[in-house]
Amino acid sequence: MYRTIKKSTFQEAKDKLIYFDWIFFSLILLLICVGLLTIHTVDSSSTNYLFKHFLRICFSLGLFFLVALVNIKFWYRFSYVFYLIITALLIYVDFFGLSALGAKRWINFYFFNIQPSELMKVGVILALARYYQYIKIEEIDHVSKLIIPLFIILIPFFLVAKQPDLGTGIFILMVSIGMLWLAGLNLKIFVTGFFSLLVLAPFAIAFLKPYQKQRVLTFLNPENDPLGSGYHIIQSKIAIGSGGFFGKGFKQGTQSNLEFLPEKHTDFIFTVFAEQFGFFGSLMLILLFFAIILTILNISLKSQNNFSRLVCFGIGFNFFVYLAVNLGMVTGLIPVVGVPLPIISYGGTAMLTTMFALGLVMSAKIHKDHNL
Amino acid sequence: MEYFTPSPKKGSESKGKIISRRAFVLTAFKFAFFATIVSRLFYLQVVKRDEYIVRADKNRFRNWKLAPSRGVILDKNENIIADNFQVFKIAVIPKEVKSVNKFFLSLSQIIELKQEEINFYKKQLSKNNKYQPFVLSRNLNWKEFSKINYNIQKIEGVQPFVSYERTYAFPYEFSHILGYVSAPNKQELNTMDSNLRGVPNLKIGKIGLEKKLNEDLLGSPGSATYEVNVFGKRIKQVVQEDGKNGSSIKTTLDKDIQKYAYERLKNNPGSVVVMDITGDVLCCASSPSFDSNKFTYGMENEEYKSLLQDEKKPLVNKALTTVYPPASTIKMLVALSALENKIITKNFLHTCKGKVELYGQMYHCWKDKGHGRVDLGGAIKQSCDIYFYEVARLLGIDRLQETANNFGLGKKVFENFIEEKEGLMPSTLWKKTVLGKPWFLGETMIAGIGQGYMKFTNVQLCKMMAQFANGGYKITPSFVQSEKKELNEKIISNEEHSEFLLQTLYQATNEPGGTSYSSRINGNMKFAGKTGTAQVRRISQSERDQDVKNKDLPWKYRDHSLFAGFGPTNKPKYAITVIIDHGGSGSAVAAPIARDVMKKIFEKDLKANNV
Repeated sequence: MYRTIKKSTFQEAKDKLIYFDWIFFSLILLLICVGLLTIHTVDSSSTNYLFKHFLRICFSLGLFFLVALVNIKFWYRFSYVFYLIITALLIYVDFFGLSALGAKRWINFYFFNIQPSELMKVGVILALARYYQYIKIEEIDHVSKLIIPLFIILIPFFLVAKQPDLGTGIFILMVSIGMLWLAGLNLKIFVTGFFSLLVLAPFAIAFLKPYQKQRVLTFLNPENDPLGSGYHIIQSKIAIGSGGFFGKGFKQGTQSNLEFLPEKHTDFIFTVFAEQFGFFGSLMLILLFFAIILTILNISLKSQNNFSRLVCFGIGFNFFVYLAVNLGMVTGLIPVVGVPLPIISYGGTAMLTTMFALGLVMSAKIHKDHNL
Repeated sequence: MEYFTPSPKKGSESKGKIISRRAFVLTAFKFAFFATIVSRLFYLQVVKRDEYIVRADKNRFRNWKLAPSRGVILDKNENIIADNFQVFKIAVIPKEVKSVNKFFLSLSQIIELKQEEINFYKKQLSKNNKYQPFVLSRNLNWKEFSKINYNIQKIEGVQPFVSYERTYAFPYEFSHILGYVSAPNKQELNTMDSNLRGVPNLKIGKIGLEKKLNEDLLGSPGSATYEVNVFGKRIKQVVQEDGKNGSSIKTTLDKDIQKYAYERLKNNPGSVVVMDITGDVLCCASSPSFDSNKFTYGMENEEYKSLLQDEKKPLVNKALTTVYPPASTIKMLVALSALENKIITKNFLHTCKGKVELYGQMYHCWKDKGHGRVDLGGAIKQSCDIYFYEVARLLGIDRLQETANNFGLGKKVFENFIEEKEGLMPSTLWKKTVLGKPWFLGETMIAGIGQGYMKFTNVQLCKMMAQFANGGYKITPSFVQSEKKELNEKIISNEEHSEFLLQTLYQATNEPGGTSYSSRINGNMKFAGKTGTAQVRRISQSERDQDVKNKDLPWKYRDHSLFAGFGPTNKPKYAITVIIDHGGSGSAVAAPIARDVMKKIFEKDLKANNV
């Protein structure tokens, strides 16, 4: 009955805005502002990062609203298709992609380059959430029910690792494992999987490219080769450490101003921030991120269907892995892998993917009472 | 709290619970990780803050030392003989570049560099201390220099700078006595004052006066601290500390005399030393010579090799380093020693028959027919060898050695000249302790005519001559102008003796029959001196029979030609010694050169007095 009354699109959108989570949105906006501010400090007239970053934000925000206002039902139906499209793009990249730094990762669209591996992080979440929506809890640990998810996970993993981009590959793997865990798989399966990985690890190392091995070795002892590959970590630690408690002040970061920081506008942007605003500023930023993750958690808990719930948890976990890997990397806790800081870092696809994912969360919130 | 409570729908109740429960576990894990990150940040930013601030400063501050301008060297009339010219150079601190190959590659894209040049620099760079600036020896022209400054971002670690390079006004004439400067070697770096380390393009004196006076000439370096970016480009200057330039030094050398002496020596390998009777050295020229500027501006390897291998030894300062038998120039000292020790009087007579036999050994005079019966004056004037064999025999080597020691023979004349040689004045004790053999009488006899073990440098002979000329006062020769020296320590006890010997020398040069009569100076100002012809090997009987001429022998077997003199004779003021390596007889080669140089000095003195 309810459905038969055709509402105007405008009216529909207006209804949806009632459920729009303004706290969640303001947190995101706050993060965007921090990002713009930090990009501004590393910008110069020749690079013009701020303007490009701003354009991308506008575009991504548009996408965010679009995704948020589309019913989560649509994403439920569309999730396998979405997954398959991105898999196709990954295969396309292997043949026709732009190569940079010895890896084929990008597809050239007219106005920016798309990195399908980045989109795949959301693709896997959607596909797995869709799959586990109707699997009964009694059947979930059955081997026959494990085959499809394994394919969903391993196909993109190998495609991405082949590019070669092991970092993103492992990233996808981690998010997927998180999804399987959330879906309710028995702990025994994870333990078995972990030990079989340990056994397989030596064989896997044989397949690593020399630069990948080098990265791991450098991580283990960065001071060994201060001008070589350990340079990133050392300079990053110097920048963060020299910031002190309150930081060197806005635009006063010597490490970033004098270009000692590598990749300062992308993966090492947190370093730039920490140098200028110190421990206090960094703590505030991390609290902001954590608040966003808690909000996502809250939204997922309130969702009425398992698909929305799994998608939100997955995206929250994805967001967390981004943060964990990036912050762990710049503070020297884990090896250097090219992972941007969500929303803050300069870069197209990551921004787009993040905002798309957050849009999905918002959609889940708006349509929390809808059935699939 | 109600915010976090799930309200699952029917059907999916149990599964939803599992999902929520696991999400909580995961959130706890996330919280733990954030706590880890925060404590890591606390560790980096609060605990280790100071350490990282130091490291950040080390990144961005570069201390660049500024080489002090080396002191200028002047001659006695304040003419500059060693100056500094501005040069444009580039340096690199090996520690600050990631790849040497890349550095040279990017450098060669800006300025023209030959592959050999690059290889040479790379080889040198590998020996360079990692923290010491490595200066490319090549000098840039203004165009190249500005090109590098313009493109500095493209070459990581390059440091263009302006420096001063030692430049000699008379690179050939003064090359031996002034020496040259060059980059310090490892050993010198280690012994050097610590604040001089790390000074780019620092050059230190390697030899000659540059080495002897290095400390005063050097000064102390200044430094400037710059904030630099990762490419080594200077963003701004933070601190500047001025150094002290080296003090300029006024020497006793006379540019005109030195130039003239060198001109006069040009075709004769040898040396000329002139000092005034108080010990100020006016001229110290050595020939053949080399271009000392090439040691600062660069010399081809081939050229350096050929200088090293030349049998006429252009790199050696023949006035200080080469030792010669004094030959007949020692006769004055033998005579003086005999007079002072009251062995003979000036009226002592002896007959010269051209040769004399002693214990089966034949001793010859230079004049085959002999000089007949001569007294001391005649023997010096005509340089009779037989007379001096006899005097030496009577005198004995040890008494002669004592007198020679008083005159400074066989001892270094200057302090801190690494190239100066001591020479040798033998004695019975010396032979016993050093050679472990007893002294023979025949050795005493040939010592009387300045042959045998005796070996002196040109400056020692000149000092001896100056001490005769000043009436027998001990002097300490020097190259640096100082307060007027006092002459108070006498080394000739009887004034009559010195007057007599100078008188005899006057006769030897200015009266017919004297050995250097043909090289006299006519006019009011006269000069006088003693010739010497030093054998460098024994003359065999067959050669005497065949009357082999000196000029027919290979160059290195020919006699050395010596002359030691003073002037003006009426009021002695200067002493001069000339030694020509394998030049032949003293009267034919060395004496005319001495006369010309002395004449030049007289002319200069006259001009100065008239003005």
